[in-house]
Amino acid sequence: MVENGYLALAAVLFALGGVGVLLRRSPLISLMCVELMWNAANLAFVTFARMHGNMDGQVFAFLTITVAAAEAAIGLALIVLLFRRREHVDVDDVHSLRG
Amino acid sequence: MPIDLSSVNPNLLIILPPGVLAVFALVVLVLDLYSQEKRWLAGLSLVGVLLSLVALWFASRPGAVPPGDYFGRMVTADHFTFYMVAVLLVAAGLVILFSMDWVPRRLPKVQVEYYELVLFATLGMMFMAASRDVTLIYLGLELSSQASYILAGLLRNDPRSNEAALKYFLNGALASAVLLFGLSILYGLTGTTYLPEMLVALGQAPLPLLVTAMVFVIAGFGFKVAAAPFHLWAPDAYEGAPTPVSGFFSMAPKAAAWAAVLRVFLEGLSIPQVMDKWSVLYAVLSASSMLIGNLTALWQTNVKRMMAYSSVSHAGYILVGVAAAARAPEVGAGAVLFYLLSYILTNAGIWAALVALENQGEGTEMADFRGLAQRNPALAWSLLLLFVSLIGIPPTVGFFGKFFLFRAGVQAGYVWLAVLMAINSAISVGYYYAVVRNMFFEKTEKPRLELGSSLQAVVALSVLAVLVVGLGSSPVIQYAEAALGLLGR
Amino acid sequence: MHPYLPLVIYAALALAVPVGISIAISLITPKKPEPSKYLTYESGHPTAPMLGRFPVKFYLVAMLFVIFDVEAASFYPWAVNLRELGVFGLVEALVFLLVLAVGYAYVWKKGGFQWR
Repeated sequence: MVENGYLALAAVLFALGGVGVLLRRSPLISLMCVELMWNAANLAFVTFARMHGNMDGQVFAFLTITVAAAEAAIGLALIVLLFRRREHVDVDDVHSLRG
Repeated sequence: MPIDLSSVNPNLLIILPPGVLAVFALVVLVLDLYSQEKRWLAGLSLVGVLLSLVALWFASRPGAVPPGDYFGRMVTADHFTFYMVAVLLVAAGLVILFSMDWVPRRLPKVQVEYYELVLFATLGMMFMAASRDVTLIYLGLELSSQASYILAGLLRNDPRSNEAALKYFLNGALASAVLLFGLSILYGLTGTTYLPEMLVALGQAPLPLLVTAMVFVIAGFGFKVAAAPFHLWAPDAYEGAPTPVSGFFSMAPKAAAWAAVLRVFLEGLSIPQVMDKWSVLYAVLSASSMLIGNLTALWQTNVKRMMAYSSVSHAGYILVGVAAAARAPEVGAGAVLFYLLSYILTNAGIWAALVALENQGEGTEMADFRGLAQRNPALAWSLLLLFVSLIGIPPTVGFFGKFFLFRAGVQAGYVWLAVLMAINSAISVGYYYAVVRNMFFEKTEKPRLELGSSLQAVVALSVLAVLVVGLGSSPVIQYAEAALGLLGR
Repeated sequence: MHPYLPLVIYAALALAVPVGISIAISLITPKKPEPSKYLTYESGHPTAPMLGRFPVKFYLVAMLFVIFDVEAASFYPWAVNLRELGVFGLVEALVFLLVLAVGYAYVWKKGGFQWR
């Protein structure tokens, strides 16, 4: 079944994104990895929609794409704010707050 | 003159409260572009919230909107929706009220954007509470979260605000991705995003995958409500974000997330095989949140940060009710709903005091509370009462909130959790007392602390509500417990 | 075979692939550290620090494009089902368009489209 292939891809993308968020220190790359995780979920939604033969999953994925675009805009804006202040941005350098 | 609503399409009536809020949000946004004077737009935002409450009152009257799903099954009319939307609107109204003096001073360039974002975030939360389709619950969650990220970073020239926003954003984005993936598995197992249908279809689903999806969903929501061990973003976000925004975070978004948790788990994942599992997981989260929140709060010197850990511990208390709801749904969910109201009413006054300190150019460290009883006795005594409510001592609303949670825990067989909650309430006396000691037993040379009329109103409302809702708690808890009875189970 | 067994296998696979790749890379990579290897290579063009590479205004234009592009894409499903959705669909689409227009007006008035 070709759907299984897509599900496998979704799971692999999600795991890669998760590993990336946890291991990489740059907020920019963290953001890209989170986007990867979102798209993995979207792929799963669309695949499941095809397996079940209804549109709910496709609608969900469609709306999530918009959500992800808005989220990326906000994330990049916040990172640009930090860029203006520092030469480069690294999660470990962001520690003027304790914790 | 009684207004006849029976001829009005219930679809329009149920959408009226969020609709009114959305229209006001858009109107305020457009007026901002053409108006030099900004202060009245804050008032207009508040009017929007109040009119939305009026619309809710019309929609929730018996017979106006028969219980059921509207707008293509996206919006649900039941007591749960009405209760939570009312609670969220009250929270938004209090937040706008206690920000009115602060915003022109600290955010002169983005005054109206502040109110905009609060309104849009509230709109998202209303849909989170009002829907039993995970599509709309997720969209509402995202609308409120994204508005919250920007709110946290509104102090553009303050590196701490930038940092708070970025940390909140990265954690929040990760949480929504995890939640989304969990929801996608649930959809894959059942073929529907509508919770009641999901419940029916789950019986055939293989348990291991179901549990995997459940863990993803719990982790995703765990971040949003800042339950330990998913709470690490909360202290930094609360400390770095603008003070009224931190107050907003501690009140509204969490309440909406709890509403979504109750919806998803009680209406969607309440088949016996998984109920036991999520109940135990939530019980463990509850114990860790209470202990970590309270014990870490003891060491804090910044009151905003202390309130962040306090909110983690309160998430732990609320989780007692969520865990109990698996075995005693009405009592557990009713206790959670009541506690949300009590927490919001109590927190409003405390954050108003923090905002008042910043309005006079002071900080929010413990030391800034020194001699507050000299500087403004009424405020100091009000704060004492509000802390008493947070600890859970009668006759305040906090006591009744904890009592209902305790009762739910015991009824559901979580006696150990209920006892742990009582012990933790005793621990929490330690850090609240630190503030009280500074207020009453330290001397200061600083001048009187003036509140301004809007802050006075918030503190007065908060104190009044803590006493009135506390002593008159029985109709509220009855409504809250009945809310679940109508969930269509 | 259980019908969902493949899914379980994929979940295991999903975990194994990234972990396996990371381990394999660290095992087989020959390690000869040399300073020039860690320099950024940009088609022979001398590299400058990250800051100032692209003016921020590019970001603003790109972001506004992405947002409005994605929103505009939402019209396609409605357009395809225009007849079935009827007046109700039309009103919904107009409401959506109105909200979008308010956002557009906001960006315009705040100078988001100015190249400065």
